[in-house]
Order: sequence, then structure tokens, then C-alpha cells
Amino acid sequence: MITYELCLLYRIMPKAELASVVKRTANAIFEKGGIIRKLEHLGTRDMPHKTSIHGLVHHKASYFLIEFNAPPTCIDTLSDEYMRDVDIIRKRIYKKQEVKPFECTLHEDMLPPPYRKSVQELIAQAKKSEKPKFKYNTGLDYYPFQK
Amino acid sequence: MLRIISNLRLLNSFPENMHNCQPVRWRRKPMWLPTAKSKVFRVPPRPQISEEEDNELKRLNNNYRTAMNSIRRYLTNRYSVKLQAKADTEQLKKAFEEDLARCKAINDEWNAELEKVRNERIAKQLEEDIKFAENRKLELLKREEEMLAQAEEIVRKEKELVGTFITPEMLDEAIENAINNPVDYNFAIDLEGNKILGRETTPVEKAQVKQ
Repeated sequence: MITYELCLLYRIMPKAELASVVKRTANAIFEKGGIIRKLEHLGTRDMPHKTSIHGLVHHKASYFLIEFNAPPTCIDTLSDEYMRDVDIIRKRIYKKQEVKPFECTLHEDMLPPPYRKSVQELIAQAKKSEKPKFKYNTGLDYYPFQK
Repeated sequence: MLRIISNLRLLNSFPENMHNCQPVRWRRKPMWLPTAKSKVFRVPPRPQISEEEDNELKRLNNNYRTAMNSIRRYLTNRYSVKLQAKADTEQLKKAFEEDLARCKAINDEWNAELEKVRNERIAKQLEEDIKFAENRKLELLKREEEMLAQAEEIVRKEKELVGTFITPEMLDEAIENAINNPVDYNFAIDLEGNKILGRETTPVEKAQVKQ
């Protein structure tokens, strides 16, 4: 069972109209035999760039996120359906990725560069590729003759 | 020509009419010189030997070889010390049989030893194989159990979540709720490692929001 994430950008509408449009979107999933796990509004704000679609130029959008399960065969159909919806500016369906457990290493990253593990690894790597240098064995730290 | 001139030089006597000739030291062309350009593509003709002559040559050669082999064998038998000492066939046969018996005894001994080692090795191998198979079986069972446990875990989690799913009946309510309560996942981290939630949160509020 694959969980999908549907990210939607709706055009700016009054609340009632927006609700009906979201309902239409959600019903399309139900019609395909899907389950909606989560429905979230991520706010109404400016888009990073203007977008022209369905003969109109949009600068602002209402961001929505729907998490759902549906048969993988109907994802293309859903995508096509939403593309033809004039109230949707952009849409994209992702597979939901499980968040892997991780450890916070911020305190390590905040150290000065020579103390950071990643930097130390880089230095070790650079040392490994250094060519062997000829040793004069004169006991001096400089070359005593003219070069 | 080369040969003639060098021969002449050897003789150290030049005829009167050959004063203008340059004597040559070597009569052969040196090894390191290539084939003459005019001779590069020359194919020397095969020697033509008639059938009669060929047969005759073969016959003569066969006769020669037979005679030589015969003489060599005769001389070997006549003068070889080794062969003369072992001329007694009865004794030879006896010695041979004795040697064979001794060899057989040694061989049997070796075979017995090897058989012992082989049996041990086979027994050990069999034991190892059985152990390996048992281990594999156990591992397989363990893995199956783990897989089943994982599947059970997934089902359990899903069952817990079923209550929070949005059904067509409660869709209106869910949409209303979502529109009224926008979610903001954005956050920033300052130098002290504090998490500042929200997209529009200003730095002034930073002190109040701690991780």
C-alpha cells in the first residue's frame, strides 16, 4: 500500500468556494476507491514566481496538502483530472517517504572547522594523496646550498 | 664476382688487366643487410624430383636406416655390461616379482592410510554440511518470523490510524477545519540551536521559543 502526497495550489477564492473546490478534489480520490489520510491547509501566500494557467496569471495561491492511499493505476487519471481543473494552479503527486531516524549533530557542526569530524576526514584524505618528499637528512630545516 | 675477387686477393697476385678492380674484404653479404630489392619478391622454384628418383632415394634411405639400427642394436647387446648381467631370465623374473610384491605392500599401506584420512574427512564434511543446513533453516525461520512481525507492526500502526482517516461523511467538516487552521511546517535554527517555528515569526519572538 503506497501512501501518496498531493500538493495543491488553488487560485484565490472566497472561503465557501474554496471549500467546495477542495471537496471536489477530495471526492475525485474517493471515486477512485482511495482513502484520505490527512488534509491540511498550508496557508495562502505569494507564489515564488508568477504562474499563468488556464488563460490567467496568478501571483498568489492557497496551498493544500492531501495525504491519501489510492490504487497506483489511477494516479495518472487523477493527475490528468486535476490538470484540467481550472481552480488548480499547480498540483503534484509524490510518494510519501518514511522519515528515517537520525541523530542531531548540530553541536558537532557548530565546532570550529579543524575540530569537525568531516573536516578531519578531508584532511586525512588529502594527506593520503600527498606525494613522498625527498629527505636530505642534514638535520637542518632548510637546504644549505644554492638551489 | 665477390668470390672471385677475394680469392684473387688471397692469392695476392693481380693479373695485369685487373689493376682497376677494388678488392673486397668479405665475399658474403653481412647478416644485418636486408634482402636485395630485386630479390624481395623472388619465389625460389621447388626442386623437381621425378617419381622414380624419389622412390629410389626412399629405398636407399630405408636400407641405410635399417642397417644402422641393426648395427647399433647388435653393438649394444654385444658390449653392454648391464644387459649381460641380467641375461638370466629366471632370476630377472624372480627379482621383478619380488620388487612388485614389495611395491604392492607399500601401496596397500598407503591406501589404507589414505582411506582412514578420507573417511575422517568425509564424516567431518557431512557433519559440517548438516550443521550448515540446520543453521540455514533456523535463519530462514527467524527471517520469516521477523518479516511477519514487521507486517504485524505495520498493520497495527495502520489500525491505530484508521480512526483519523477522513471519510466522505466527515469531509465537509475536515475541509472547514483545515481552512480555519493553516499549518506551517517552516522553522529556522539560530546559533544556539533554538528552533524558531513558523514562516513569519520575527527574531524578537526568538527568545520565547525554545526547543
